[in-house]
Amino acid sequence: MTAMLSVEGLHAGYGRSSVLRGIDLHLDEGEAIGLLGPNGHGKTTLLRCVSGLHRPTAGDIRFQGASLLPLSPRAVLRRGVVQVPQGSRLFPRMTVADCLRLGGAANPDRSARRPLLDEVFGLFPKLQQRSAQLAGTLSGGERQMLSIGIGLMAGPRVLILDEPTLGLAPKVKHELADAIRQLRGRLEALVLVDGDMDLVLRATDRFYVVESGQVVQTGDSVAGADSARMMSLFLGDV
Amino acid sequence: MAIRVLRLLLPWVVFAVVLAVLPGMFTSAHSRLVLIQALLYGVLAVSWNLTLGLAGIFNFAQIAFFGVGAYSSAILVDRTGMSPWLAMALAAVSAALSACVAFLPVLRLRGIYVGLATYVFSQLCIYLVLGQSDLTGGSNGIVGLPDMTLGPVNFYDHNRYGYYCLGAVLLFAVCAVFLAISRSRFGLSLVALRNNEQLAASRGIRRTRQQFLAFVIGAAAAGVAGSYNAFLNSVVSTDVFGFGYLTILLSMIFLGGRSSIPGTVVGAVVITVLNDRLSGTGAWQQVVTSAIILVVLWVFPEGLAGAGRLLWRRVAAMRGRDGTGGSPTDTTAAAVPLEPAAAHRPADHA
Amino acid sequence: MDAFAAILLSGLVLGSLYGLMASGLSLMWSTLGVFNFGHGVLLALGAYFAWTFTEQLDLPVALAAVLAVVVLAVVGVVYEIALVRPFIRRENGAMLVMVATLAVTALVQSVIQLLWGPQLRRVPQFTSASVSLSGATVSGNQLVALVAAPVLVGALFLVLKRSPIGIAVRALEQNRDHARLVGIRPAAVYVFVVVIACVLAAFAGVLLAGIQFMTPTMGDDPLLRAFVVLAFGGTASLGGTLAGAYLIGLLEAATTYFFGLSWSPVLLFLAMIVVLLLRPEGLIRQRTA
Ligand SMILES: Nc1ncnc2c1ncn2[C@@H]1O[C@H](COP(=O)(O)OP(=O)(O)OP(=O)(O)O)[C@@H](O)[C@H]1O
Ligand SMILES: [Mg+2]
Repeated sequence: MTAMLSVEGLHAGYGRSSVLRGIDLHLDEGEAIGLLGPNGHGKTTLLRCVSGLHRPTAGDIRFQGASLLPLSPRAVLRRGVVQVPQGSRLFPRMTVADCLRLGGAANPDRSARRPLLDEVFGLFPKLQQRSAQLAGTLSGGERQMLSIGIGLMAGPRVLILDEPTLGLAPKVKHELADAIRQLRGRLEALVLVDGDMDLVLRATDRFYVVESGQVVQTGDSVAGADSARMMSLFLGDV
Repeated sequence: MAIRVLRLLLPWVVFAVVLAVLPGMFTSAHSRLVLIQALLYGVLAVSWNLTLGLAGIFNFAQIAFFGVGAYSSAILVDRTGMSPWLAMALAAVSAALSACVAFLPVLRLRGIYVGLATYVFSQLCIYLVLGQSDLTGGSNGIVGLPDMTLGPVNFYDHNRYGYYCLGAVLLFAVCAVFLAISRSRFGLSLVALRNNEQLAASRGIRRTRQQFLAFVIGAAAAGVAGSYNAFLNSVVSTDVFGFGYLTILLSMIFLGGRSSIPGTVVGAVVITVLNDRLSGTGAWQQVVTSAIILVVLWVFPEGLAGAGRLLWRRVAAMRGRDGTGGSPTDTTAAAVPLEPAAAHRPADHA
Repeated sequence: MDAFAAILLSGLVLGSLYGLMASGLSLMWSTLGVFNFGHGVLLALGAYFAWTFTEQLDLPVALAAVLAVVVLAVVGVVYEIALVRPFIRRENGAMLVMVATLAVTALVQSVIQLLWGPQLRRVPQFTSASVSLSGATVSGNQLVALVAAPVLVGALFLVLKRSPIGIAVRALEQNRDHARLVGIRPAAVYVFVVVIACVLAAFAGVLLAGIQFMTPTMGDDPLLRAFVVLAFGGTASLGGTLAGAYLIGLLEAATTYFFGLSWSPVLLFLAMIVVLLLRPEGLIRQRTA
């Protein structure tokens, strides 16, 4: 069986500096994977390549057998590969409702919008209360919820979350972690990048450690939890 | 060492020889005039390149400085009977002073805003000239200016041989000054500001001061060119501020390649000759000139200089040599890429 | 009192025309990050097409105006593809677009000269009705301008606020990367914005061509005033732009009345320089609607 989403020998960079140096990974249907690794080692760059925001210099990204590389971000989205970007300012002068509407705008299945909106509000009731508020005035946690909500409105088959809990206080973090675990059951597949190793290992099936633009370690999330290599990674010994 | 000096000087010697020989080859009144026009445009285009190309300031007031120079020398000679030479020097001063006014918005603005403000400034000059018709003759302009003379020699004689010589000297001088500036610390600081303002500022380069200097020096040169143009034609009118000059100069600069002197001079010659061929076709002249700008922007945005460098690199690569060297007077060869367009986008001001 | 009414009237009419120009410019600025120096010649093009439709095809003015606006909408698509798209993402793109739009201004002005000739022409007014207002007479086109500017700019405001494409415009303006992740195609948004700007300029052109004689350079003055409006009203909101347009219109009418035709532009531009010096954020601040 071929993987649902696969990255093969991916190289990418900015100008003359190379960031990704041959990344290989795959995601099977019904699976959740986590990406771990120190800051600035290319996780976001990898995800930007998947969504068509950044052109890799070599390698391939395939979704259900077909390459995503020639596709525009919109085309990638419409195939069901949806990304919730890291630290997005969102659309600060638009209301929460408009933002969610925007998220569903490219969804090819128009009839799904209403149920999707209900699902988002079910997952994050706060968003419903604040639907007339401007996105720029939301708190960090609410902004992250809205960001995920926007992604869900597109009707994802694979949802990619880039650092959803970055900079959040523990209480909000737990709320989000719960939501992510709930999502995991509903979606076909999930890619989770987060600095909180614990969260990643608990919400995913397998993990990859990305360092200097390469996959340096991979394994099952349960087993990974006590790996010495992983510990050293997060104690800063890299 | 000697070879280095030779390599540096050789193009200039060739340039000087060509300038000296040309009038002997073009002796008819008409061809001489075309030649002189190419010199004039060359001076103006190279002076504009100091701000637009080298310093990367969106200065669209250069034509206004040219016009201010033309009008102030015409008014001085017309009203006071002053010597054209003195008037030419004062034209440089008044153009530099008007550059001070035009620079005011640059104090607070960046990038494309400067383009907007300087463009508006140059339009303002037309209204001023039209409004002050007692002084400027309004839409009639000022006519009957005397010819320039040097001792017993009238520059108009022998098919404007004197004007040719003066123009050649001006062009040579302005190119030499441009090169000297681009090689100096001052020039390097301008390039540094163009490429990365924050980085340059952190190294202690003061943006306002350096760019102000570039503005004023470029404007003074344009003022002299304006004065030269006034005496050459013995009239000035609001045409000197007009769109015609703007498109002609932009086509020269972009055809030649921004911030390359040889490119700009070649661009000036090509466009002047082309314009001469098209004179008498009315609006077609402007159609062709502006179409050239667009085609250059679409097809080879680095202009002739860029195309030349590409060719040179290909040839050098074929001969297995290091292909980085350009012509020695070429200042872009050393230039680092400009800051990304994104830096100018409004979203970054949030 | 008559003088006051005359100033008020002519100021508001000018303000309406400038408002139509400036809202297109401001929309292009805040979305694309470029100033369209070709906006004046788009106005002229709209006027000349309207003239052709009324005089050559004998169509009623209103229909001719609609057709001219449609033609300019098509021109807008070409304009974006030829002059904005190739340059906008390049380094120094704003300058390249500026030069390209200046060049196309020269080009189209000459082409107008070649196609339509140098004769002085006018487009008939929308209506021959006129209203007297404490001594000042309001002609048909002035009336139309007074009504049309707030209506059209208001409609644009609503489109930006409510319609899917309007929301896409604002989203792209506020967060380009995230906008692309939700499936917004920047190219489509850019075309839309340029078309809207062209349509507004064309309509201003048809109105102006009924008030004064047409020339290929008839758009230059309104364009400059619209640039001044951007400095005054900022590009922060369409409301601000429109308010700035009326302010400039009134200022111009008053200074023309008191200081004469040749001084008024000088004073206006001096005012603009002062505003730019004291409050550069007038230009820089972000759009809110
Ligand atoms: N637009 C850009 N231009 C130049 N360099 C960039 C750009 N974006 C990222 N980089 C560089 O690429 C490298 C990888 O960045 P990336 O954002 O992919 O890392 P990351 O693993 O996601 O880090 P973090 O955990 O902090 O989010 C970094 O060194 C960064 O400085
Ligand atoms: Mg990241």
